[in-house]
Amino acid sequence: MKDSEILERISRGDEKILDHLYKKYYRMMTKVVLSNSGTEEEAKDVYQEALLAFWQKASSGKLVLTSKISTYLYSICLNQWRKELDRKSRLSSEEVDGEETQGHDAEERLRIVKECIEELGDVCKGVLTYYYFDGLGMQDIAEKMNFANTDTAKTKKYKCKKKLDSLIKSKYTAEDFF
Amino acid sequence: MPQQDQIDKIEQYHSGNMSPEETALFEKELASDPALKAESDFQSEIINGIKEYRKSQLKTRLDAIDVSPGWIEFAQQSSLVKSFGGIAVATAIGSGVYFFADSKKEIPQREIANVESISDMTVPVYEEVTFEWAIKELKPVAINKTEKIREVEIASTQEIKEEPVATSESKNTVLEVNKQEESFTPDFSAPDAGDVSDNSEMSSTVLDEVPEVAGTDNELDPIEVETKNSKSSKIKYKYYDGKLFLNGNFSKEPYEILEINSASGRRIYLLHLNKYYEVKINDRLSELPEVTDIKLIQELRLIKANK
Repeated sequence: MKDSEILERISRGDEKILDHLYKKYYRMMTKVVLSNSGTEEEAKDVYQEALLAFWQKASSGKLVLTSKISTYLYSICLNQWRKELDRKSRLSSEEVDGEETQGHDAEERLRIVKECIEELGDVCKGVLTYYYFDGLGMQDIAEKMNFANTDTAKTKKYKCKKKLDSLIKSKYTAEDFF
Repeated sequence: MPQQDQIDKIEQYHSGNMSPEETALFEKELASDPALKAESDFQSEIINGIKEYRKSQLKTRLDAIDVSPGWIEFAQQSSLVKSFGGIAVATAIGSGVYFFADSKKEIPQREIANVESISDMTVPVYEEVTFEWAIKELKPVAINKTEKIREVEIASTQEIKEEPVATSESKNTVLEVNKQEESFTPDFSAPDAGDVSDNSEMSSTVLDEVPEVAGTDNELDPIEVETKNSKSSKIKYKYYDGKLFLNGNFSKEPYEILEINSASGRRIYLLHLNKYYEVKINDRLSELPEVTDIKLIQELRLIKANK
């Protein structure tokens, strides 16, 4: 399968092509981490992060690919692992109590957001994730969600987002984040 | 509660869809409006939360994919398989080189085989060539030997009878044979002894088995002569079955018999008191006829003189 065809299918939100890419380049990409003192779990995490970053950019139409997909993925994996190694080295040499407190609060708020998303129905989950993460347009969302038209997609997105905001604000108030 | 257009603006800011000018202007508003800043931070956490949720969702999907290497990938990555693969490749190359070299060696064998088969196929041609050569050699040799035998027999007969017998015809024949021998001598010695011995057709036995002229066997046998003296001046004789009976007055002058052997047969003449007589087959005792042909008499004299 040619790279152009892969990119075209990603732009339509075809998740089967994600499965194909993941399996195709798994050994090649994880080798970057494994051959640089990384574990199998770390290698998998780095590869998944790199592939999803590629997916996010490609599906939103923001990616201008000037090389092969494999080369692009390899460079992302390499940079991701360098950042991870830098983070590890900083954590081993620095102890910042303030950052740990702030990180804990951010993690807690993130957990609350995820819980609220989980409380949404599948339609809202789909519309919000396709819009904010995948960067799909209303036409593609309407097709994927089997909506009548893009206006339905827009309305669904607006209502789902408003519902999520309300859920999170209520949770934040209960957790005393406001 | 923030207005929806304010929320849309905040989303555009966090999604990076604003132009640099719009971004700079919005950041100024954020700096001057704490409530807007708080709402922007809240929306940022929600958007990040949605993204993280989607990531977790997709990661769960990816984790469910079986990424264990297939046999091809296993073969590519396994050092053991690589080692065996290397050995297998080396063996294949070695075998290829061996058989290639072996096939080169076989080429001459095949050529030899082909040559053998060709030689088998061309045997008739070879025989034909040999046969032609044999024909050239056999004819003169056969004639030569026959004539030599006859010559020897003539000599032996003359020796036995002590009567020189020779004709110009027999001499000419011998001379012609000698000429043929000289002309064919180089060709005769052309093939080596091995080739001749291998060829049964060229064996000496065949040469010896060359049929002689029919009827010459009896003629070549020595003539048995039985003589009876008488007082008569006439000579009487009988001649049959190779036996010659003579009845005459041979007490004063002995006789001589001239035997001329040729392809046309044997002719016998008798010389007595300077007269030549012709001996013909005759089973009744009769007078021996005298040769009156002057030309024949001269020839007989010549043969006798050159004996």
